[in-house]
Amino acid sequence: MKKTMKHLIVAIVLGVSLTGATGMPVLAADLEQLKEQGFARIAIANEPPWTMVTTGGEVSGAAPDLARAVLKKLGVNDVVASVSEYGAMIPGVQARRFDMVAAGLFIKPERCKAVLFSQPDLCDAESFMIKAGNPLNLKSFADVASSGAKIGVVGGGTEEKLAIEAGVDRANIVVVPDPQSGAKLLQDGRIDVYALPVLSISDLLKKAKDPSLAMFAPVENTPIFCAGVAFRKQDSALRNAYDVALAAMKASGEFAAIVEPYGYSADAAMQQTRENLCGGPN
Amino acid sequence: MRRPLSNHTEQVLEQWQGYIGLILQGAVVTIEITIMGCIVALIAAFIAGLGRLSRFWLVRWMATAYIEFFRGTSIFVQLFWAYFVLPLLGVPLSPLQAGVIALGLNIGAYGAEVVRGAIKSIPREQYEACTALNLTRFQEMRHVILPQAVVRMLPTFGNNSIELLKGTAVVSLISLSDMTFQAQVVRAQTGSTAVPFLTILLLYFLFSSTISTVIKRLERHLSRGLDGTGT
Amino acid sequence: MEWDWEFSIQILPQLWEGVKVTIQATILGTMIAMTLGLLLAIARRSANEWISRPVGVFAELIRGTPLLVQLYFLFYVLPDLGLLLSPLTAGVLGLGLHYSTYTAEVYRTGIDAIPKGQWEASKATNLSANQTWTHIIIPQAIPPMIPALANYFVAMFKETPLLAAITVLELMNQARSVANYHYKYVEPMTMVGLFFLAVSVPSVILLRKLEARFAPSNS
Repeated sequence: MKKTMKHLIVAIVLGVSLTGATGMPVLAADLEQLKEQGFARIAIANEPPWTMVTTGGEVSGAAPDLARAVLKKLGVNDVVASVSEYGAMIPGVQARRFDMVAAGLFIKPERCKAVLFSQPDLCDAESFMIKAGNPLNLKSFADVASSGAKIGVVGGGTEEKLAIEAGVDRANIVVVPDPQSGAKLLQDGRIDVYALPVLSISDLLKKAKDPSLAMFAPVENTPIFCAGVAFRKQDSALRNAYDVALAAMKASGEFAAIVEPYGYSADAAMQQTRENLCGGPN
Repeated sequence: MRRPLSNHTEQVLEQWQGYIGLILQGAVVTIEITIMGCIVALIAAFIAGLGRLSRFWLVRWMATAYIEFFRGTSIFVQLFWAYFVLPLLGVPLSPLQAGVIALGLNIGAYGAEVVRGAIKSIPREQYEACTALNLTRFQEMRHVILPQAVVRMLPTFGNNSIELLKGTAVVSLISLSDMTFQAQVVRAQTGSTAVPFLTILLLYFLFSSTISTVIKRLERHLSRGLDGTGT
Repeated sequence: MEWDWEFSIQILPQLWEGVKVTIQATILGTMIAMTLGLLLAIARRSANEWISRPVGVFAELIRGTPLLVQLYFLFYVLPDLGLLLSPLTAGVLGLGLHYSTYTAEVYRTGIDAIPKGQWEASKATNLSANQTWTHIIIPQAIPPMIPALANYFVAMFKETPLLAAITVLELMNQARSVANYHYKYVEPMTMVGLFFLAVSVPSVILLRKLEARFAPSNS
């Protein structure tokens, strides 16, 4: 009994310390603290080519790559990424779960009320993934609403709001568990259309290699959205420093060198401004 | 002389090796979470179980509140609340911490009833003998009651651990890279659904069978020297 | 922490839609679990080893693996084999199947508790196996088991949020949808928790009453 007791105590101590050692998030979002720490915590999704997590756990994609480069210029050498649902990113950065969101979060007026954005970096139009030949002839969100089709969207994404605003019945909006599942749901016929930005759908189609799937782009009556890196409202100093470094990279061509290989148009981002997208100062 | 496989077959085999490796990585995480969760559950079960037998009504009340609270909602709800809401209330938790704490406290609440039941099932003569021998309450618990009670708790603790193991699958929904999460990753990358899911089903079954065997062995080992009256 | 009361009230209608599906799923799942469990229990007692063995192994497999993975299987794998179930159907089937293995154990305990004399008397009075089961064994076995079965009814109710993982629009999924749309997680998630507590805690009291009525010797 004595031996078992000893083993039990060791196990408890080990267990408790292991739990503690998983790392209590450091509550820093000040540039100096980030530089000292050596890394910044960013929120990402897993939606190529915006964000990607390889099977080995490496984080890449246009948004994290760009964030890494900009942060390096600011003296922060690395990023630690955590995968999150889009809807959880804003509450997450507000709660200091991460220091910033680098996931291709589109800049929109209601989001500008909740967080600070950097200047735009990644722009794209909206597209539909449908069965080849577009049997239901879906060209806009209004078409989806009027046809009673089932539309798949990612949780917290822009497409969900667009669908609701266009009048799609909530019962016909299927929140897809993760971006890759959307293609499977379409193949199985559980949804009739899957809405995501053009580059995301292109990537999914490339990987699916299924001739029965096709893309319709751009979705009619829908603007081109641009994303930016999101910060807490209180971290304006960090955001401004980020903007300065980002602007420098845009001017020097480094920005284009990072985003264009993923398929993004550097010009589109450089011609847009955050003030425009937010509908006011941010 | 072995005929070399065609290039394509070799590629496919290598790919699948990589995917099986991923699932095994997930298995390691699943085992880690199960062990840590069981430790938290054990501690919580004893504190709450003994708490419900306390002489002080406040302690009893707090123990009961904890037990009913955590048995009143599922692991999924508790996990999501711990992961999404607690940080907004000022308690940031990583997915791993949220998972271990939610699982541990949940199963601990069920374990508390087991602890209480087992201690109460010890025949009164044992308690009376302790009084006759002038043992303090602590000595009574430590040397007489608990050793016998623990043996009676083991079978149900075994079931509880298996419930915890099965519960770990839910942490995949907060992007923790356990076995279920990795199976989803493999599914997304390969388009094959049956193989990854069948693999992890077999692995989960293997783990739960192992737990059952270990508990049975432990039961036999600890009941040596005891009266053997326990059922 | 500021609790937004206005927001909480605003989202109630959408959450209520989820509650309706939750209740639906629980009732349907329970119906499956209760009937399938009884069939499983009877099958495992079969003298024919070709029935009792495979059924036993199958039940152990389902009981020893996570419900979530079983749901994924029904939702993602079956279509590849040609069977496309709606999310709710897959969810209800998964829930019912998983818990039928638990109720089977409850039935087994109840059936085992029937004194051997009852079986022998049935044989002596020339009752067929069917008649023995329907008129002698089951009516005696079930009442003491009602508290345990009711317990699993509540357990299934609490597990319905898992169906969200296969896109069923029950309460948890509606709450997440609301939270994602408005970027507010505190109110929806807490309300989900409160709802389950509001049902579970009174049910504990109800269960104790059931126990007192149907299995008084067990206390």
